[in-house]
Amino acid sequence: MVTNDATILRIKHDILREVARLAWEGTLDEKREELPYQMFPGPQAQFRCCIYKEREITRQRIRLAEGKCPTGMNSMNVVQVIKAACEECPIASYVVTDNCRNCMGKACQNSCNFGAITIGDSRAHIDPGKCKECGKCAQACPYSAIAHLERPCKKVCPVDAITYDEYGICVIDEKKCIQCGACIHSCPFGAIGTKTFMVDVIRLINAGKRVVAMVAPATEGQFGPDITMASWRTALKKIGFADMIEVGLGGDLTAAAEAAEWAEAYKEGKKMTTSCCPAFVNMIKQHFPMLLDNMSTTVSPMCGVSRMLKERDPETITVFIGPCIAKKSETLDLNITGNADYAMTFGEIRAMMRAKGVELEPEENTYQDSSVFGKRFGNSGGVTAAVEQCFKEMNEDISPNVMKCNGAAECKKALLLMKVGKLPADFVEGMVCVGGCVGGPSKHKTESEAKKARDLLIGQADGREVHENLKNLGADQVAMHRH
Amino acid sequence: MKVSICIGSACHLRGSREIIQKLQTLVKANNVADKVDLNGAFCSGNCVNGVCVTIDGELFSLSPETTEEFFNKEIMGRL
Repeated sequence: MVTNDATILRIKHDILREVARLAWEGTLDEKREELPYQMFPGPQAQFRCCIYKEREITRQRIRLAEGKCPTGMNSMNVVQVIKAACEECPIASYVVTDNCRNCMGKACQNSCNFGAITIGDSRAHIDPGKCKECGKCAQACPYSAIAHLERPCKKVCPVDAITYDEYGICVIDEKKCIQCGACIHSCPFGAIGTKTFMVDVIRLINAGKRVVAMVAPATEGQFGPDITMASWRTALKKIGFADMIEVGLGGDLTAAAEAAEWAEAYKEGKKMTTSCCPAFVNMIKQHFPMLLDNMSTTVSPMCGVSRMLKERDPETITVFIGPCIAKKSETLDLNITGNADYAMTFGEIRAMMRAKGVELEPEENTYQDSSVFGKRFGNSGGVTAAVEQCFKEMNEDISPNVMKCNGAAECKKALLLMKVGKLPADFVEGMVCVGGCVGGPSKHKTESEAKKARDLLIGQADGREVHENLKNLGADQVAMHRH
Repeated sequence: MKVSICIGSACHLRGSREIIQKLQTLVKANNVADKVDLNGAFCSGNCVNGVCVTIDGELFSLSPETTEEFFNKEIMGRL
C-alpha cells in the first residue's frame, strides 16, 4: 500500500514500538526524554533541516503515543497536528509552472474573470491577492501549465476542518472535525497524528487487570490469507490480553436491533440513518444536529460486544482494535453506557506486539464468533445486507429503499437531502470511509489489495444465521439502545 | 455543561470507571441527560490527588466515595 506518508510510516511505527517497549518495562517515565536521542543520535539530520528539529518532532510524537497533546495545549481532539513537523505548505493554490510557453494566445489571461493574471518576461503570473481559485485558467491552458496546489491535508478533509495559523501551520477546527482521520496519512511530512491509548492499555495489563480485545470486522484479509481470527487471538493472548472476541458478533447484535427499529420506522414512514460508523455519527451531531432524531438509537457493534462482555464480568476492560480513528472518539462519549474502554489502531496494537517480540502467525481458520453478515459489516453495503438478512429471519416482508453512502462525500449529500426533506430513500447507510471500514485510515492494506484474502477467509466461515448465532452465544439479551 | 472524566490508566486504577458509572446513573436518575454531557478525557497529568474530573474546564479531584456529593453540589448546583 502506498500512502502519502509511506516513508515516514516506518519512523512513526518505530517510535510507537519504542514507547510501548518502555511502557511494558515500566521505565517510560525515566527514559522518555532519552528516546529522541537514541532514535536520532546525530550529529547529522536524516530528513529535516537539523537534528534538533528531528528530535523535537520525535518528542511530540512520543507525547501523542502517550495520549497527550503534542505541544502541551489542552485540546480534547483525538486528531492532532504535530506542529514541529508541519512544513507550512504553500497556501496559494494555482501556480504557473515551467510548462508555460509564454504563448501568444493567452487563454489563461482571457479566461480569468478577476484580472489576476499578468504576463511576465518568460511566463504568466497569478496574483494570489486577486485569484479566487476558480480554476478556469488551469482548464484553459493548452499546455497544462497551471497546477492546482492544494494542501494534501485540506484536500482530503470532508468537512473543511483544516485551516492554518498566521505562520501557515496547519490548525484543525475542532468544532468541525469529525475525527475520521483522513488527513493523517495524507500528509507527506507526517505532521498529523492521533492520541493513542497504547500506554494506558499496557499499564492496565501490567497491573494485572482483565483486558479483553475486540477485533474489528474489517480485520479479516488485512494481513493476508493465513492470518486468521485464531492468529489474532493467539498473538493478543501472548502479550497479556485475557481473551479476544470478534466485533463481527457485534455486527450481528446491531443488525438484529436495527432491523427491529427500521421495521417499525418503515411502517410509520419515518426516515432513518444508521449509527454504527462513529465518524458518520459525529458528522450528524456536529454538522446536521437537526437530524439527530432520525439517527438510529441502536449502539455500534463495538458497544454491543463491550456491553455483553461487561455484563458477564463487570471488571472487564474492553479494548477495540481496528482500522478506525473515530472509534477513539466514540469511547470518549460517556453518555453511552458500557461502551469500549479504549480503542486502538492496527499500527498501535502491532507496535505493542513487536515491543514484546510477538508477531501475527498463520493459524488455521477455526475461530468464529460472528455470522458472515456480521463479518461483512466492515464493507460498504454490509450493514444493509445484514439488516435485510434479519428481515428475512424475522419473516418481515418489507424491502425498504436504502441509500448506501460509500464515503464522506456521499454521506454528506444524503444528509443534505434528508435535511431539506428530499431524500428519495427510506434509510441511509452511512460510512465515512470509502469502501467502508476496510478503507479506514489506519488500514494495513487497501480494500482492493486485501479483497482476495478477505473473501477467502470469510468464505471459510460457516453459514450460521444472525439470530441463531446470537441465541447460541447467549447474546440475544444484550441491551442495544443508546439510552 | 461539559463534564470530562479522565480515563487514563492512572485514574482507571483509582476508580474512574466506577465514578463514570455513578455519574451515568445519577444523570439518568435526575433526568438531566439533555443538560449534562459526559466525556472521557485522555490523561492530563494531574493525577496526583485523585481521579481528574473537569466541569467546563475547571478541575476537580474525585474518588468513587465523593462522587455523589460532587454531583449534587457541583453539577446540580450549576444547572
